[in-house]
Amino acid sequence: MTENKEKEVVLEQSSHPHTLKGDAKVIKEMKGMNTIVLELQGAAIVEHGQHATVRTEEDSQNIIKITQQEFNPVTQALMNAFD
Amino acid sequence: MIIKHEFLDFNTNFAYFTNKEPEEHIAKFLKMAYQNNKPRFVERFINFYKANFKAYDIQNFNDILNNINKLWDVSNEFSYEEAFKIENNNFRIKVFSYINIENLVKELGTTRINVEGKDVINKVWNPIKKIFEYIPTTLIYELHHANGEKLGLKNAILPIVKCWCTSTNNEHWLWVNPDKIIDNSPLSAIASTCCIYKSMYGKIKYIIRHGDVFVFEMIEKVIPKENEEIISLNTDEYFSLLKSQS
Repeated sequence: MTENKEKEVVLEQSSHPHTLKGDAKVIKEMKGMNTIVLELQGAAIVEHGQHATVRTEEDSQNIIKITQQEFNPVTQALMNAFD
Repeated sequence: MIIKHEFLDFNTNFAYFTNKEPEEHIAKFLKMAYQNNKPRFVERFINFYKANFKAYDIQNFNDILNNINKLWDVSNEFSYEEAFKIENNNFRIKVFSYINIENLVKELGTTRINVEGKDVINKVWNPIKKIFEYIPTTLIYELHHANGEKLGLKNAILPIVKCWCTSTNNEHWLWVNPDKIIDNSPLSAIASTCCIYKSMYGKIKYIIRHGDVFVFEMIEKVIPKENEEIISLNTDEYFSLLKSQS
């Protein structure tokens, strides 16, 4: 019997969260750009209620998730985009 | 303990609503969320929390609710300028989720500066067949200049990129840094929204864009530091690494 190591990691919280599913371990989370550093053993899929599913490669290991950045026109600083 | 609510959670340990925002901000946000409808706000927010506070025997927090209820009567919804000035990222996003960006752009007034297309082969996962599919797609980006006067910015030209979601075909607008735009190229503008930590540079195997989330597979292990310099990718770097998007 093989052990099912699939885990769910929420990459971005929202009404439809972006969720990564795979043999994943969170190494580091950072406030800046909503960054998550992950270690994968093999492929993982990323799902969302509205966007089509995407998948990493079979041999994926080192993954970093970063939120898309907009340039706040008033404060002139980067800010997290949202969809 | 966190009491969950459809708009704002309450942390009973620290006695504050989401993100420790001032009560004035909470009232302004709730005006937007409940579309200025006071009876609905009272029923679905005030009464919801009063019932929860009673259930958990923490009615001393009712003062916070009473204050927000009073502030509702003297508050206006966030103006665009105020919304951009909210410091907390998560709360600002929450507020902007109730601002219709298309209306905002229309109200500010924009001029279309340039349009560019990019032919790509989009690698998407078919979860039913469990195979990758390679779909030829043309990505279209428009660079606009918005007038900053209504945001309190006189004589400011604010570049903003219009694009369309490859999954939903919904229109999206993204504010971009004018210093990162090369020759009014919308492609350079969209590439500038893909920011990385400097230690990641040159070590990215490929990029997946999933809505507003970038997933980078790295050639080797990289653990960025919190205070590290942030850089954005240029057009060639971004589009040569982008393998999949939805």
